[in-house]
Amino acid sequence: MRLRPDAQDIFAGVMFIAFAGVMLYLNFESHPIGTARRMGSGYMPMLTFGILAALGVAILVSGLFTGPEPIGRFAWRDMGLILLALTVYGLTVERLGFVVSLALCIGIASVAEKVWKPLRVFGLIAFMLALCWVLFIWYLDIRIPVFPWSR
Amino acid sequence: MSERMRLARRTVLTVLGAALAAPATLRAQSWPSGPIRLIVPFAPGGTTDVMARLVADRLGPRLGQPVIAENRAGAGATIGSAIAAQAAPDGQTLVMSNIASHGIAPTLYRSLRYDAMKDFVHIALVTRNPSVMVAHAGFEARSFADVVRIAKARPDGLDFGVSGAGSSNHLLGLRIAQAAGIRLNPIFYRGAGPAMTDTIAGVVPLMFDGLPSASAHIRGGRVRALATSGSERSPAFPDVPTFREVGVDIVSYQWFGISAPAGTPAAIVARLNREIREILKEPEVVARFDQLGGGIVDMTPEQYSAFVAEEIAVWAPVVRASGATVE
Amino acid sequence: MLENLIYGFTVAATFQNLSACFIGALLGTAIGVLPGIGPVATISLLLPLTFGMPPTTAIIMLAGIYYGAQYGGSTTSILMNLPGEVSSVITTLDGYQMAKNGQAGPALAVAAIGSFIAGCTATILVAALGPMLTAVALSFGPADYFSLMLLGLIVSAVLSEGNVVKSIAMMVAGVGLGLVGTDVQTGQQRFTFDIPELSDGIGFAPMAMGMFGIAEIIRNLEMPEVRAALKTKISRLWLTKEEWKRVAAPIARGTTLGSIVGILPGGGAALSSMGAYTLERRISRNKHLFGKGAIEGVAAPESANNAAAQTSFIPLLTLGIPANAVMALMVGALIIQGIQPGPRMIEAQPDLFWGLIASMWIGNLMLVIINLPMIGMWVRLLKVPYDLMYPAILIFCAIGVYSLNNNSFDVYVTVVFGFLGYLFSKIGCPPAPMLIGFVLGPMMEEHLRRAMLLSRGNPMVFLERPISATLLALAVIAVVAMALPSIRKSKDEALAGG
Repeated sequence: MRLRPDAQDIFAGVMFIAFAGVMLYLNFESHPIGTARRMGSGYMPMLTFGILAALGVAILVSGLFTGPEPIGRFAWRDMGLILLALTVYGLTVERLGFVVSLALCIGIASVAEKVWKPLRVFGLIAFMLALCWVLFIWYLDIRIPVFPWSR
Repeated sequence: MSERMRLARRTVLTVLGAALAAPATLRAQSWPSGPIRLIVPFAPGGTTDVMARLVADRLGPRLGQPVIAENRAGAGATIGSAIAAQAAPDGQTLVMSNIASHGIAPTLYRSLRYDAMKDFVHIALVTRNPSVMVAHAGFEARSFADVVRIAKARPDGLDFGVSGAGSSNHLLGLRIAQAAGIRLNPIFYRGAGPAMTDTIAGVVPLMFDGLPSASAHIRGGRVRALATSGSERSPAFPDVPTFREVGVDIVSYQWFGISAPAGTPAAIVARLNREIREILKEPEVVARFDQLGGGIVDMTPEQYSAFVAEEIAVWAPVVRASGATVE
Repeated sequence: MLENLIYGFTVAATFQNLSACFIGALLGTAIGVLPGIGPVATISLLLPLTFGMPPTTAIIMLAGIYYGAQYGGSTTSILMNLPGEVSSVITTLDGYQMAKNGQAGPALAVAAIGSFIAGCTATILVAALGPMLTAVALSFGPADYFSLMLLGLIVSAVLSEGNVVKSIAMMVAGVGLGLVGTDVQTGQQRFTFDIPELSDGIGFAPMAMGMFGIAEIIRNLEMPEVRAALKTKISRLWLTKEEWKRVAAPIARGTTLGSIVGILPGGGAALSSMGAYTLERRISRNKHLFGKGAIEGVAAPESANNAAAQTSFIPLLTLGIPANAVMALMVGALIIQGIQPGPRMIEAQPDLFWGLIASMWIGNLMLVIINLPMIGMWVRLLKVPYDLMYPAILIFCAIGVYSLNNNSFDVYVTVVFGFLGYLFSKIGCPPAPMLIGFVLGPMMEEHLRRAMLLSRGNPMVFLERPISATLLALAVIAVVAMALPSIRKSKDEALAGG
């Protein structure tokens, strides 16, 4: 067989092997394996990650021959902004309250759009504030601080 | 139903209004300055949650501010308790202290984020109930003495179902086995429900469970009650002996009460204790607790603090002997 | 039984109860369509509404909320690729593809109709055989459950399109992630890194939201041209005659499978929709369409899912034991009403028991009445410009996930799995098997260890018990069936590749 590397499979294989490796190491460090009759807390992780490592090797090896399948471009900017928006929501909701964190989350996420239209973004923030207020605070009564001074 | 919904909304609006007005009332230095939150460290819907809400609903009108139960479940009730321990000690945050988070967790968890005694002021015990040892309906043991005899005859002892490693019923089972000189092997489940299913089905012959959650199954004849862990027989099951009566000197209860972060002003603690104890004397509350299987105990803050300290001391050696520790 | 059912209908069909059921189904749908809020969250959010009602009305409303929430979850899965629970994960596989092909209308319609037919059938089953079926649930021991879960995992490995080995690896990795948290048998913390929130394991909803919903948003932002195509396609709202013919048999099979699997406590919903989907994929004449928007792939799991939702009431009503988290909440609601569910309920509170059974049927009817007219509205929702749509979805996810435990930690979990979901899509690793492994893996471990403890370490227990042995035989057949085509395929590829 000719060597025709498949980037997707190779990456996936390495990822599974690395994940399994780290988990197996942690497992042997801290969890007793036990016996088949009286399995310790490390028995099932050992089996699972052992199998996963083997599968990772299989994917890696077969990936050397089944290519080429390139990994597409990674949309770092879009991904970063969306994940940042969520993270900011999580960081601020308890300290600054739901109104501020909602506005921040939508504001950051909206930057991912190619053309940033302030009017649309602010309109959306106002609309979502009203909708989420009615839905979550007034109607469902979820326990969440509303304003920075609510707690 | 529409009326009920309106009511719910009105409470919500009151809460919001109060939240908006919070800065003004804080200056007024009066307590309660806004809605009080009662952290319930369990998932909504369970017996304990129901009882906590019963108390919260009646505490609100007495204090002139709504008391809102907030479920913060997880990690053996320790997550909600840790949140309460870190809250401001201004009487606006209360927590449902209980046997798991304040009796057993201090020994079970090696790195607990709170000290069950130092980080809290314990206000009042609300309820306690005994546990019960039940057997599969078709199991040959008719009494606790039978269990001891059968377990001694078998080299590897008998299996019993429990709701979780380190739970009070797990540890109680180990205590009973040790005191009776028999071998009981815990078989763990994710909660009391699945363990009860397997006891009814006969997968495990025995189980330890809280009396309230087991009582319907005992009455329905699906499991047989062998002994209860109270100091005297349960009024609901006068035919079932206590462990003391069958020769094992162990008394054990599951319990919960209400506590606040350490540093909460003594006047607030005294007031809350008074109100809670009065609520627990209301006939309607007594009736509901009876129905749910929770006994009511009358305690001062000092008595409750002493009770919690005593519980920690009782469970510590049992937890250590069981080998169940959580990092 | 007929007499009892008629009695039930007279109880349920009062104006108060009918309106409670209607409002419940409506609210349930409305809340259930919010991303991140599955049936469990919906019921716990709406539970307080029922506190002041008479018991029968309260429980009828809760049943309405439950069905509504479940259907609402299917709606978001189909429209936005946002599954809130395991059974919806299966629905996204073909449902979201159908929506992308401009067939959101038929997908939603078939989900509603399939659910209705399944609900009706399963309700009759519950009424007629409820007490008898309890015996089935009780006859499953730990060894049998282990074999069932193993079969479920093996079956799920063939779920996804593409590379089977990668699917299996994703499934095994999912099992591994499921091990995070407190070990049930020893109470030991596994892979929790001293984070208390992890001691109850990684949350399913944050994980699913991240891998499906958030990753999908990133993919859509990346490819604006796909979005444009999605929007301009005009959708039919109703099924064609041809489609009716295609879905009839899958609905029937899904209903049968779901009714049976739903009785088993734990894992019933996940296994039923997954089993129904795999079954159709094996025997359908349109195999090649699966994963690309096959209507059968929506009809079968949705029917199975709803049938299982009905029959999962059986252990609750006859034993007083909740089969899953939703049923546990129902028990809570009953206890609040001062009722202890169990077999004595049939004699002690016949109005409640038969009223509930009748309301199951009514609830399913309400669902169709509410949702068929709404399909047009949902489909129109897809026409909202994407620059307004995605921040809205994102914020709903954020609020929904946060409100699960009132904890920001779940939001961060969503972020991590959002990244992973996007990464997986770039390297051709399907996320669905991972979620299924995540749910079934820990249950499998639990039953395996329990079975070995109870049998005193004798592995023969898995072959000696007839149920377990049968299931294991099926698992072996599934492995062989899976291996044959892929071996053939790799041969073909080897030949083609030279």
